[in-house]
Amino acid sequence: MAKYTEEQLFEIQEEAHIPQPEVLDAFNKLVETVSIELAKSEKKKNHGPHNGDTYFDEFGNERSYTSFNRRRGSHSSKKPLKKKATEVAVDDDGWATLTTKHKKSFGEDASDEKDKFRDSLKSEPAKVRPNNKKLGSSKAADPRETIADKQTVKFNAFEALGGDDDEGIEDDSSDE
Amino acid sequence: MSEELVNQTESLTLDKQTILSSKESFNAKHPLNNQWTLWYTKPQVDKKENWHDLLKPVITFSSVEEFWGIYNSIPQANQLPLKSDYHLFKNGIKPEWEDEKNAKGGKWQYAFTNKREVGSIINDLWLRGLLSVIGETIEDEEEEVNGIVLNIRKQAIRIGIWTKSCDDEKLKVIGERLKKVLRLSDEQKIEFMSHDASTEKNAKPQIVL
Repeated sequence: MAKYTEEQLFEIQEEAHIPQPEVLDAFNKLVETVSIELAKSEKKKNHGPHNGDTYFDEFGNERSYTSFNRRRGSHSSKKPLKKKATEVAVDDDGWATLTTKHKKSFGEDASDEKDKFRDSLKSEPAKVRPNNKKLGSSKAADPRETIADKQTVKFNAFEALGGDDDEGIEDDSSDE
Repeated sequence: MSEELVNQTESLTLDKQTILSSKESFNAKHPLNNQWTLWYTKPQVDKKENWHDLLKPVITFSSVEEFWGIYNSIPQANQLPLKSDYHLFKNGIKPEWEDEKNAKGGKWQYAFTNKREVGSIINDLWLRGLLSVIGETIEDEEEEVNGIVLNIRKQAIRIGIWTKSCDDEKLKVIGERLKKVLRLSDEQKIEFMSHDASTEKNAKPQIVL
């Protein structure tokens, strides 16, 4: 029984002979037609909703996401604002008033302490001393301006005595 | 379109005229031990088509030269559409379980599940499989091998060798050779299952190599 090894068979590859070309042509056309037909039906199938993104499945096939749900982290979105609770207060005359509860940083029991704290702030006003070293604007850009800021008009007794009226003295003394 | 396809597939019937009956066109210098027929399973494009409509013989050959002529003229393994099959069987044996030459046998099979990886080598592996079958180096003198099958599926590409019996001793030799032909590593296991067992649910393979 004659056997052909792979190498022997490859050696004869150059001598290829097509026995029935018309049959093979028809077969090739068939495969081509089927491929086109399947591609069309696949396109129809994929025409459904997908978000334009694709991924490779475990078998290496490229598939598209069919869900429109965006991927998001659980903390990435803002929580919706809660509507403030409103209460309706009805007075003795029958008037109803909407009241909004404000959230308090102090508990109801600690309201006295809160008042004490506020009073202590009022009685001892805080002294505000700006740190000039850190404030660039506190330094005069021109040293002459510093001189100009100083009091230039001083009381001169000789001038005051020599004056005709008392206006100058009054003005100067008020400055003192 | 589906009518056209049916007409085209109907024209793909076995030509009773073979090269042996026409000496003028017989250019073969390297005859094969057996005549071989290439079959093709067309993917279903119309729901009315049944298995018998889809499975068609393409051409029969009996020499190495003819084999190469045919191989060079038909689509490569990676050019076939999904749900296609190539079957190369000894002439006279249909690639169906029901055929009397297959009925008591089974198949060695390996499934390449990573299509991205196998996509570039499947043509080479399928060719090696074909050469081992027509050159008959896949077995010794057992005459066990009926044919070789290629399945193109979405999940996997499978190559299988169909045998006429389920004789463990004979099968192991064929299985080991198939592993070499498909360049499989020791971790990549091929399985033999009889056609009878294949019909049962959760059937276990008879041999694993």
